[in-house]
Amino acid sequence: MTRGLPRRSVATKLLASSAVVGGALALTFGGAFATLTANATGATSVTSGTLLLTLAKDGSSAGLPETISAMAPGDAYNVYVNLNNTGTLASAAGMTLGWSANPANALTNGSIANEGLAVAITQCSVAWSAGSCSGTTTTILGTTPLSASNPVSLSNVPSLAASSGQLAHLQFQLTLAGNETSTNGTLPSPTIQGLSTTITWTFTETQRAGTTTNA
Amino acid sequence: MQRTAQRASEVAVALATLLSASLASMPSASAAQVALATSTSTVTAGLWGATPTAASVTSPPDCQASPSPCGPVTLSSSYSHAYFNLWDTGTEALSGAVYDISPAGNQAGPLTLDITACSAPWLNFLWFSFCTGTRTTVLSGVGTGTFPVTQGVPPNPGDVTYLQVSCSGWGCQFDVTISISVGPADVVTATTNA
Repeated sequence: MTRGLPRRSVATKLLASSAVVGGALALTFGGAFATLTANATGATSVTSGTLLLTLAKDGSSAGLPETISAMAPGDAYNVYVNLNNTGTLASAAGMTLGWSANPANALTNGSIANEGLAVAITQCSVAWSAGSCSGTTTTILGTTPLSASNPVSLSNVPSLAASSGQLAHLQFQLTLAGNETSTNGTLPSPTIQGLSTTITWTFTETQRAGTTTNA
Repeated sequence: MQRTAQRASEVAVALATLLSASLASMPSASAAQVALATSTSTVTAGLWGATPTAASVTSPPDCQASPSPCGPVTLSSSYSHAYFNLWDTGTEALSGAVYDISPAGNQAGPLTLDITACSAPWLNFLWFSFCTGTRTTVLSGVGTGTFPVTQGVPPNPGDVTYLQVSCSGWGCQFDVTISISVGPADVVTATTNA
């Protein structure tokens, strides 16, 4: 009975055995067909620049912030400040000065014609000393009423803290214009007299233009 | 096959959307940085003004300024003197004033006025007057008109100057209006370097 096994069963076993061996070979040598990879490496170190602007008193001046009391027409109140580009980036042309007043009143809003506060800025090539400049003066901002729209552009910006680490010595002047007559101890109406306001000044610099470097 | 193609299309759309979102969230390469430096100024404007007020006089009884406080100061005098005070009620020192003298009715003889300041109140007795302080001539022999003066104004805020107006003729009578004004042009100005 045993010899009587069908021939088809033997063939089936041979086929199955071949499949198993073939599969094993395929698993063993299949990697021979994978893509080869080669790597080449390099490094780039990047440090971003900084754009910083500071405002500090110049020399013995009280600098900013300042408080002015009982200001009268014709008075000029000067403080001396250093505008310093302390970042690592140069600034672009077009530095501006902006301001806002709180409260806004006739001292700053132009509600009385030809009256109110005005600002002017003059740069000295060296530090100011007791209100005088022993170097060369440059007008950064001519007398500008605070009722004018702002921010305003500052002139001669290349000399005004344009480069990294550059220091500008500035005379920051406030003046008051007025033409009023008080009669019998009574203030005219409207008036700039007896008013108070706090003005916030903002110097703004923009970074230099971006550059393309081929190295 | 059709289902595989559809799946591939969906994946492509998703990748494109993701890439687009990533680009949108990246800063623009052309953006510029801005640096600010800020500070403040606090300003209070002064007061500049003066108050002419009626002088306190007892003799002669009709030598007085009216009304009180008054302005324009109307002096009506049948005698030769009238008095008023100039009081700096502001916060600023004054360097001068402007007197505007105009006729106001009764006038006998040519109108020639003298205005004299005294640092202390005038003392009057009948037709005589005495300055017990420093006496300063403000205007002398003037008629009507506008006269800027630098004398006879209060030297400091809060100070009072005592003024006497007299006519130059014996027995003269006059009604005049004197307006005194001080303004920014008269304000002592200063440049402060702080």
